[in-house]
Amino acid sequence: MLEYQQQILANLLQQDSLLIMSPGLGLFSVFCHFLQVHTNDNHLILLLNTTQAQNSAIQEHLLSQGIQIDHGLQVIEYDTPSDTRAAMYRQSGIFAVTSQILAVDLLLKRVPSTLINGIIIYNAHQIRPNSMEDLVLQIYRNENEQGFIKAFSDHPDAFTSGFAPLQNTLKILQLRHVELWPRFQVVVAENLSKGNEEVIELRQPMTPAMDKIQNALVECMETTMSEVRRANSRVDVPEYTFENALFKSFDMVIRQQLDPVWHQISPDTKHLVGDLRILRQLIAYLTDYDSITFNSFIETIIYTNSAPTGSKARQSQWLYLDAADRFITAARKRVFVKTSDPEYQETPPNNLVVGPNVPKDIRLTLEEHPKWGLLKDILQEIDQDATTNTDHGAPVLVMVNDRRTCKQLQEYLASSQGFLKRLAEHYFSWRTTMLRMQKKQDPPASAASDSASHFGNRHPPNKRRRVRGGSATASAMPRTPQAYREEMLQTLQTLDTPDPESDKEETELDDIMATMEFGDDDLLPAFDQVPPSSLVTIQCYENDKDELLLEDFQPRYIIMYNPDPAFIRRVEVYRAMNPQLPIRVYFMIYDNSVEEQKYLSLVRREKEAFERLIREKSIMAIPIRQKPATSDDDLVRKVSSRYGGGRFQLNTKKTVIVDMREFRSSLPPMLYSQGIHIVPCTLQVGDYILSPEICVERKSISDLIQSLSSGRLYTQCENMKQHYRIPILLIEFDQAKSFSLQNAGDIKDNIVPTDITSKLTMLTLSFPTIRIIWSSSPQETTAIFKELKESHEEPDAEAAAQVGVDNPGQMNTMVNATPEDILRSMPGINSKNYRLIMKAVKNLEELALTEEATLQKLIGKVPGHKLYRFIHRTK
Amino acid sequence: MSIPTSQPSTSSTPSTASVKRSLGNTILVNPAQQKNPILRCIHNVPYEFDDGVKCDYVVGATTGVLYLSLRYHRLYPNYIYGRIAALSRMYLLRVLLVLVDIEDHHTTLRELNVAAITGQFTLMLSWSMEEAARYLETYKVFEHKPDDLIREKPADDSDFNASMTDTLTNIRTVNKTDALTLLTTFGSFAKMTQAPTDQLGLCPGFGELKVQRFRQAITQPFLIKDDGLSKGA
Repeated sequence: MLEYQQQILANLLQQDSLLIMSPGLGLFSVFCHFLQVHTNDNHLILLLNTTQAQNSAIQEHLLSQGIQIDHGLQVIEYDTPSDTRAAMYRQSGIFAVTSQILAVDLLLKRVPSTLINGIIIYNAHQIRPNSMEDLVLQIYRNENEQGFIKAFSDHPDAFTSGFAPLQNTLKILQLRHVELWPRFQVVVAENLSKGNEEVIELRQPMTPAMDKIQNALVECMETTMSEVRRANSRVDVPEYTFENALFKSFDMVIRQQLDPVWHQISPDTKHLVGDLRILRQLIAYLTDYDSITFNSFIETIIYTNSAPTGSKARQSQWLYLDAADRFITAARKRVFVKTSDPEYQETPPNNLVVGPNVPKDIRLTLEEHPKWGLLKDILQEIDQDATTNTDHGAPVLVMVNDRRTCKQLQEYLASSQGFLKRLAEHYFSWRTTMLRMQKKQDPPASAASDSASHFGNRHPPNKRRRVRGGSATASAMPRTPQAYREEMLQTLQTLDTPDPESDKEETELDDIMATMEFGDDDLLPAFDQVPPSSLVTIQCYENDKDELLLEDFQPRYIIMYNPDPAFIRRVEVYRAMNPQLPIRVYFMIYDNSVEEQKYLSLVRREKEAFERLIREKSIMAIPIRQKPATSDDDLVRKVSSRYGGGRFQLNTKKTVIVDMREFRSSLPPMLYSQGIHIVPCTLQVGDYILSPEICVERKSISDLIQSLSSGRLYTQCENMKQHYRIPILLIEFDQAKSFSLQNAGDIKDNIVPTDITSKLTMLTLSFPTIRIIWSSSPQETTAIFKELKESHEEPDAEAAAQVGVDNPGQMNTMVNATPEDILRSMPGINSKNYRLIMKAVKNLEELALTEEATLQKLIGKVPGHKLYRFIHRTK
Repeated sequence: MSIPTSQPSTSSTPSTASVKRSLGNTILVNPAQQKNPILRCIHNVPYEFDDGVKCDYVVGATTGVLYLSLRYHRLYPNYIYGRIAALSRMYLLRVLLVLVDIEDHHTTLRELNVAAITGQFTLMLSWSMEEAARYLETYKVFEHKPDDLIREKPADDSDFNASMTDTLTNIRTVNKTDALTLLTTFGSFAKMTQAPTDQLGLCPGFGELKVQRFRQAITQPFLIKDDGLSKGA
C-alpha cells in the first residue's frame, strides 16, 4: 500500500466516517484491507450495497491474501432461506447482504442486533433518504450504539446535486465525519509523482463520414433540447447545457425539474425527453460500435418510430430534421452505397463475396474504425520494441470501454477482413427478417410484389408523391419515417422476389448463426495471431476489478483504447507501487470528438465536485443523532382516557403488518422512524394491515393508472372486500410531485371513460365499501395511519398471513416480481391461472421449453395453445 | 356508450314537480346547493332540485354525495360531521366529494381522511370545480354501466408485435426499440430465452447491465420457497 492509502486506513479504523476518494486512487484496496483487519476474530460485520461483481472480487482478493473461505466474505442471496440466514448470523463473520433482506431480518430479530460489530456501506453515493439502507441503519443505531458504521464512495460528483447533499447523506448514514481524498491532496500528489512518466498520446481524427454523423447528431440533440426548453420553462436551469446532456446524470437533472409536474406535462415533452436519451446513446455508439451495428441500430429506431400498428404511437420529432436525414444517409453509406448515390461509381464492386442475403445492386463500403488500424500499428511497434529491448516478451494490456469493444477488437485483430464481412452477412440476413416482419404488418404490401402498385395501395396519393419525390432527389428534403421504411423496402426489392424455397433460406440463416458461433470460439485466444514474443490482453474497465487486474498482469505496455480518467489514476498508482518497472502508456482518443469532450468534462466535473464538497464540509451543520421520539408518545397513550380508568395496556406499541413486497417503497422506513412497530410478512391480500379489520392497498399514481387499466386493482379490491371489513385503497402522491390527479386544463368537455377519474369512479361504484385515503406524501400516510390506529385493535401477523391463502405451500413462498409480470402479460394468462404456471414451471427459460400439451394440461386447451403459440411464434 | 347530452336545466323546474319523481337520468340536487358554482359546470347530465333529498346530490338510486369545499370547512369545521352522522344509514355508496381549494391542506385532509373512514364514506378529492362536477356527472352516467372497463381482461393477442413489446418491456431498462431488436435478432420468445449472454451483448443497444437484467428476468425462479417465512410472522 502507498503512504496515503495507509493513512486513510488508519483514519478509518480510528473513527466512524464516510470516505470519499477520487476514482482510481485505490478505494477498493483500502476497502479490502479494512475487511481483512476484521477477518481474524469472531466479528459479525454486515456489508451493504455491493454488487454481485464486487462481492466476487472481494472474495477473490481475500482468498489471495490467504484468508480461509469461512473467514472471508459470505454472500447472503435472495434465495438463502431465512433459517439458514439466522444460523449464519449467529456464527459470525463478514456477510454481504441485500439491504431489503437485512431490514426484514432485523425487524424479525433474526439478527442479534446487539452483537453486530459493524455495518459497512459500499457505494455510499447511492444512499437515498427513506431507503432500505436508511431503515437498516436506524434500527441498528436504535438497538446498538457500540458498533461501527463506515461508508465508502469514489463518486464525488454524485454528492453535488440537490440541497446540502453531503450533510443529508451523513444524516442518513448516521455519521458525523467525512474523509475527502481528492487526487490533488498533498500526500496523494506526492506519492504519485514518484513514478516515471512515459505517456504517448495519440489523437486520431475521425473519418469524414463519422464527422458528418457526429455533427448532425449534435444538431439534432440541440434542437431537441431547445424544444424541451420551449415547452417547459422549468427546465431552464444552469445545468441545462449541451455538455451536461452527454452524461447519463442529465436525465436526473431533467427529471428533477419536471418531476413535480411529470404526470401533467404533455406527452410530447415526455417523448422529447426520451429522444434525448436515444440521441445520447447514438452519439456514444458512433465511436463504440462498428459501422454495421451502428447502422442497424439506427434502422431499428426508425422502424419502432414508424410502426403503423399503434395509431397512438408518437413519432420522434428529430427524425424530421434535415440533420437526421444527413446522419441516417451517412451511416448507411458507411456500410453500403446504392446505385442512386454519387459515390456508387467510386466504390469498387463487391470484391467480397458475401452470403445470399446481400442484394446485388448495392456496393459494400464497410468502413473501419480508424482506431482499429492505429491499434494494429501500435501493437506492431510494441512488438519490434519488445524484441529489440528485452529478452523475453512483455505483456501488453489493451483497455476498452465494454465487452462489446473487447470482442470487436479480438475479432478484428484475428482477421480484419473477415470480421466486417461476417458482420455484413449477419446484418443483411437480419434485415431480411426485419423486412418480413414489416410485410406482415402491412398485408397489402405483402400481397403485391410490384413496388409501385403496393405503395399506391397503402398511402393516400399525396403521400405517395412525396415518397417518389424523396427517393429521386435523395436528401433534398427531410423525409418522414414512413419514407425511410419504404426506402428500406425498395433497397431490398431484390430480396422481395418470391422465394421458392423459403425453408431453405431458414436453414441457411441458421447455418450462418452456427458458423458465427463457431467462429467466435475459434477466435477467443486472440494472442495466437500476434507474434508470441508479446502477450496481448484486451480487457474492459470494470472499476474495482481493475485494481487487481494491473497487479495480476504486471503489464509493461498499456494501451487505453477508450479514455477513462479513473484508469489513468490506477496506472499512476500501479507505477508508484512498482517503481522498478518501465511502463509505457498509449492513450488513444478521437480528435475533436464527443468522446474527447466527454473525457475532458469528466475530469473537470470531478475536480469541481471535490471543491464543492470541501466547501460544504467546512460550512455544514454536523448532524447529531436524533433519539427516537417514541417514548413520549407511549407515555401519553398509556394514560390515555380512552382506556377506562386509565388502565395500562400491556402491548402499547402500535403495530402495522407490512407486505414483503412493500419493502421496496419508502413508506416502511417512514413508519419506523415515526415509532410504529412494523412486522414484515408475506401477504396475499393487501399491502398494510392496520388492525384485524383494516386492510390497505397502497398505490402510487403511476401504479394506480397502470393497475386500473390492467384490471389488477379490481381483483385486489375484490380480495380485500372478501376478507376485511374495512378495505382501503391508499392513493399516495409523491411529495416532490404535484398533488392532483389531472390538470384543470386537461378536463375535457365530455366524459371520457378511459380517464383515470372515470375509472376511479367506476371502481367506487363497483365496490361501495372500499374507502379511499388520499395522501399527499408518505409522511402524510404515516400520520393518517397513526390516527386510524388510535381507535382500533392491533393486528395479528399470523392471521394476516393466512388470509387469502389457497394452499398451505403458498405461505412459505416469495414471488419474484419481474418474471411474474412478464408471465402475466402473456396471452392466454389471466389472474386465475398464472399461479398454476408459476407452481409447475421453474422460470421463464423453462417455460419456453415446456411442451404445448403440458401447458394445456395446466391451464386448459385454448389458453395453453395461445400461450404456446405466443412463445414459439416466429415473426 | 351514449352520453346524455341534453341541455342543463338552469333553474329548478316547478312545472315538472307534478311529474312522477323518477330518478331517470337526472341528478337530484338539494336546494341548499342552489348557489354552489359547481352546478354551472354540470353540462353532460341534466339536474333538478328536489326538497326530499337528504344528501347534497343524488347521482344514482343508491348513491348519495356530500359536497364540501375545504375553504368552507375551515370556517365551519363542525358542519360536515353533522351531515355525515345524519346520513349514516342511507344509500349504498356514500361519497364525500371534497374540493381542495386551499393551499395548506395537510391537517384538514388528514382529518377528513379519517372522518370519512369512520363515518363510512368514500372520499373523493377534486382540485377544480370542473373536476368536481365531472365526478358528479360520471357517477350518474356510469350508474348502470357494466364494470368491464376496469376488470382484468386476458392479454390482447391480436397484435403479436404489440403484445410481445408489452411483455418484454416489463423488464426494467428494456424499451420498445430493444424489444424489436430482440425479436428481429432471435425470432421468437423461446429463442430469446435460450440465447447465450454474449450473443445478447452483440445486439445494438444492449449494454452489460441490460443483458444482465434480461437474463435475470428469464432465469430467476418465479417462486422462492422459504420455510422460515411463516415462522417469522
